[in-house]
Amino acid sequence: MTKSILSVLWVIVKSYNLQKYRFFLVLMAMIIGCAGFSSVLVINETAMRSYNQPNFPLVEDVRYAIYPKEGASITQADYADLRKSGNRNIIAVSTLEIESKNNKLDFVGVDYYALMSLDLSQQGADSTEKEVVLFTSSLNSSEVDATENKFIVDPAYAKVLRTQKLLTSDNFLQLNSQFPIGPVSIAKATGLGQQIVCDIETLFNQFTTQEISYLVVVGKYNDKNPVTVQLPAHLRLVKLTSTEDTEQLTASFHLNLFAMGLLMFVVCMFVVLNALNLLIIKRLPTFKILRQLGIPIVAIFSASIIEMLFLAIVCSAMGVTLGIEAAKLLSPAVNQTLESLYNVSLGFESFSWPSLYSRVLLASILGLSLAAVIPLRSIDRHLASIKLTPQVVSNENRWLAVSAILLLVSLILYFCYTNILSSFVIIGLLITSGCFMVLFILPKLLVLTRPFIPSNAPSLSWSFADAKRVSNKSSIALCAFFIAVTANVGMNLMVNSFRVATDTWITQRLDADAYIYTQDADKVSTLIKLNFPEISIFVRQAEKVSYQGNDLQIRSYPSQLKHRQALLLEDTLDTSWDKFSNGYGIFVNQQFALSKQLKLGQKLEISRQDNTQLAVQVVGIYYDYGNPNAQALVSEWLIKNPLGGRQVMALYNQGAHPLEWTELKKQLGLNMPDAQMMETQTLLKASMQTFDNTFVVTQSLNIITLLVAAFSLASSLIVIDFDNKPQRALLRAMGVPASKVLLLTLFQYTLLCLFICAIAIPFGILLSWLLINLINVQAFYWSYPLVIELETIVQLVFSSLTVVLLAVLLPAARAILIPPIEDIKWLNG
Amino acid sequence: MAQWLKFRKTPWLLTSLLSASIVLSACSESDTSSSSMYGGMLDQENFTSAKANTEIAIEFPRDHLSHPEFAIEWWYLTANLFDSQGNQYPMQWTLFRFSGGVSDSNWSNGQLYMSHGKLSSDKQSWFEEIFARGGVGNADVSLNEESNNFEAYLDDWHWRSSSADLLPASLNFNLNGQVNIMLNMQAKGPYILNGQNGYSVKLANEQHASMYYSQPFIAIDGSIELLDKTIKVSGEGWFDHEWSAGLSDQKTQGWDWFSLHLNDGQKLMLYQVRHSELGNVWFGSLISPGGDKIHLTATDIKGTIDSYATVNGIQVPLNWSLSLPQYQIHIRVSAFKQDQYNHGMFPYYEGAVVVEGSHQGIGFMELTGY
Repeated sequence: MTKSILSVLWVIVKSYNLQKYRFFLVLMAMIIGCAGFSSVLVINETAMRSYNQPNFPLVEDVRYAIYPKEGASITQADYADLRKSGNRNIIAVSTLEIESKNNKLDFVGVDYYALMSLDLSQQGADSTEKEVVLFTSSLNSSEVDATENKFIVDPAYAKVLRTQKLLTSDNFLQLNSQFPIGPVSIAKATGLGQQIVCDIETLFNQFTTQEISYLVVVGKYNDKNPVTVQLPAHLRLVKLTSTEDTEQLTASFHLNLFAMGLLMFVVCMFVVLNALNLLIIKRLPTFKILRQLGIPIVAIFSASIIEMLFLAIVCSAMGVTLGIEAAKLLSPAVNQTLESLYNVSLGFESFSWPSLYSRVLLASILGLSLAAVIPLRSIDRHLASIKLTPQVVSNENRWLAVSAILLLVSLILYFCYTNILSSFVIIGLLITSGCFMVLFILPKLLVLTRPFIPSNAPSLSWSFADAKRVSNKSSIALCAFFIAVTANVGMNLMVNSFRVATDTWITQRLDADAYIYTQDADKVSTLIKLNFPEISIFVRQAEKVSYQGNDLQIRSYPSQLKHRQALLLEDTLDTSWDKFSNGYGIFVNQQFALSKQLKLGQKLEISRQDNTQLAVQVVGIYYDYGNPNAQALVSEWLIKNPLGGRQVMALYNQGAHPLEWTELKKQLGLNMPDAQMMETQTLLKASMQTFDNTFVVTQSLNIITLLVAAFSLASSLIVIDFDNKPQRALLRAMGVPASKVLLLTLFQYTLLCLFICAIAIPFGILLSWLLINLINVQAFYWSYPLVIELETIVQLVFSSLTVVLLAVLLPAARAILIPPIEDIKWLNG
Repeated sequence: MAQWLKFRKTPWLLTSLLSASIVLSACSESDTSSSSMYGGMLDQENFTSAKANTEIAIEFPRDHLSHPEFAIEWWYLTANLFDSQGNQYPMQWTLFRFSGGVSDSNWSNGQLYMSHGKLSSDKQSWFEEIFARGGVGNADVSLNEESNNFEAYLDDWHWRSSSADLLPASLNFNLNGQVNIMLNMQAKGPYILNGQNGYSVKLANEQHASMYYSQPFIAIDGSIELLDKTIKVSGEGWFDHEWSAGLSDQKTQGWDWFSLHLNDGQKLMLYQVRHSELGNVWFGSLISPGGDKIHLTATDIKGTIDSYATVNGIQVPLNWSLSLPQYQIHIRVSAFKQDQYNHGMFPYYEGAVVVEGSHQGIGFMELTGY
């Protein structure tokens, strides 16, 4: 048997020479598939790692920082006073952005002496020696003598700086000055991103900057273990954005990436299946001869599997290498997102190649095994048949049956199981069902629309008719395209719906003209009442309570008409506001309702901190996107122990004219420096900016998926070019010019892709609905209305078509541009 | 575009401090030669520094303050504190100052400060070291701008006197966020100028010397707040103030330093400098209960190591026999407990000792370069 397998392998290897073009395509398909999958994995893991990474260079656990208030600055005296008051975990930082050779360089000057003084045993480390190790490890690992180095740069960033000719070979920074500065230590250090880090004294002396930008507060602080530092009036404590504020958005973002990774994998599998199928079809005559020579079918199967394994090993390695490079190419977009979200930039060099390779190889073998089922079955079937030309059997009705069964199974799952795994399975089944639907409907659509082609356009009519043949030959590639479009439509509609929902919710909810965050609401109220009588104030109070042992925050909410209109409700009782005003009713946020399975009208017993109970009825469920916590709204008079700390004051301009808010801001800055005022428009803008930045990566991944699918189509076109030769030869012999044949080919693909898009759009909408109403609810306990914008869909279809046409243009042009005699020769042969 | 760049000399001690920190974390335990005195921080003399000489007359209270023209300076307090049950809590507070050799920094005044704080009990030890630059505002030794009283501080570790003199004073510092030390200190005797009127030779060839005075008569009381309890303590303290251009050269291997309170009221300060070329040389001061000092030289002192102990993998001599035959003092000095190593960026042994033999007593021992 071994001898037979080796013989078959030998024949396969020899056949590469005869089918080098197809073999090359299989290799390319696999490499691109693996590269695509690897790049998604790299981006996904990099993103994941980034929000688990410290967001400040050289030291972990920086969650708070102290900033000056508007118009103020942090002086050395402020810093010294804070440290002399016992805050030895506060470290001065000065930042400086320098433009050099059209690149922006971020310098971060850190007070190394304060860093050396950090007692990490207080921050959770085992011993004080850790602080030394933490700080010096970055210098220790330096390639050059660390003792003389002024600056520290991450190795990945150093490469970038070298490419930009900003870092010399002897590790000096060559800025716009004639003198290089340095030397620079190139070292891996905790939290080091795309910054040049140095001692604050170096920054002060090397450059003209003389300002402390902010003070970081080092420690494992959170809401339960808050920072207790007493600050002078002109300074304010700021919770850094990388923490809970973005937690839910981050989780949503990561889920999005995970789903994209899965879809990418599926698309890649289709690409490989397509390529393998095309390769094996070409080999069938050879295998038949082998069978006639007495080689057992098992040997042919085994040799094919060994070949695939070998291909998987080689192509995965090449794909991973390419994938990492692709991720790096995408890194500006990814970094933009990560920087805006977490203030951190990561180098992709930190990714473990073996770990990535093992995963991609496993996926490739799995994918190849699945992808090889159809081609291997065709070997089996065709080798058993007598005819050299396989009989064309219409499978269209079978495709419909499979599609219907898969839909049915997904429906059953939908009604029977409600966990996140089953939700993903439902989505997988839906997409697969869609593929079979494509196989069923596409020929039907072509037949149905054919009468609309004018009879006086024979070449167009031929092209239309030939499209059915092309679709049969490229069915797998078309399925890959279908998945890509479905995923694109689904993801985009979901993100768009989320954006619209967030925008609507936040705009409606922030109904005041401005908001003030303060620790002394009474003083601020007095100041406003005295100087700005046209402003009415509402103070939002809060109280920490618990429900069934879990923390719950109840907040006060006014019940005047305008406030009623501002609360975006998912569901409500008829008499909700009456009960709310009387203190009997409570509005709960969607997260709280879904996590505790609360229903309208349900009675709740809420435990307060003074061991009393608050008995209320759920009268409404409101949208509260982005809030990671359970929350409920009650009438103001029900709040017993307003939370210590900052209170929110909503300001409404009751005057006849627009108010000059800057005047109020100025007066607050003078009299109540702790108060922070934000105009609603600024708040809205900042919120939506964060949202948009979060989903930048999704757009990049959508494009990658589409590109892979387009490649699949392009490779199909190249492979079936051999079968196109008779038709093309005839057309060329009839005098049809090459440019027209090219246009006809492009017309065929446009037609096919348009039909695919037409099928993919409903599936995409369904996918989006499932993502919103299944995955989101399972993962975050919130959902939002699905918004189907025609404009978004048209844009997607247009961009998908453009990508595909660009991808197939090259192989189509190549086929057409050969001299007509080459095609005509074929007729004689 | 060039005007936004300015070029300045890197403070040499900044790099040497960083260098020392790297040495510490990089060197293996067997590689002790690179961590000589205070982990190597005193190995190099700064030749731009003023130098100690016999012409300098120490005056109080002026010379309690900083001498920034000298490269190295320290204010060093050790104390043998006891609670009401007689349990000992040895305590160390030290403030080091180094001249960075830079006077035109935009961030600091070129002075670098490091403070070491330590408290031990028979079962536990707390040690912490903190750093700061002078001129920023969180480290200095000066007269308070408002009260004109002496103060020495680094962050929240604060020595506050009630006058321009060093004592009486209070000392407050916190270790590892777990121990609050609050002490009141009173002088019960005069200041002692070591060596010749404060000019203290450090090497046999007299190439290195410091200005050095002590206050060995300090009565201390106060409290120690631990996480679960507050302990009232009292005891004796010993204060040293020393400044120089440098105390050692590259061939100095380390030193062994003793400050002892003998039960008859005498105070004894001894130190041995170990040098690979010049050999080991002893110096010291024998102080009467009334504050009269006898300058001791190598001919007066006989010191031998009785035994070594391994502390954190390092062999250190924890049991000594010290004799001053001319003064009928024959004592054995042994560590209060074995592990009193200061595991900081600049590691050295600093711990309480018990004195037995012809005289009983307590005190402190500092061993560097092991």
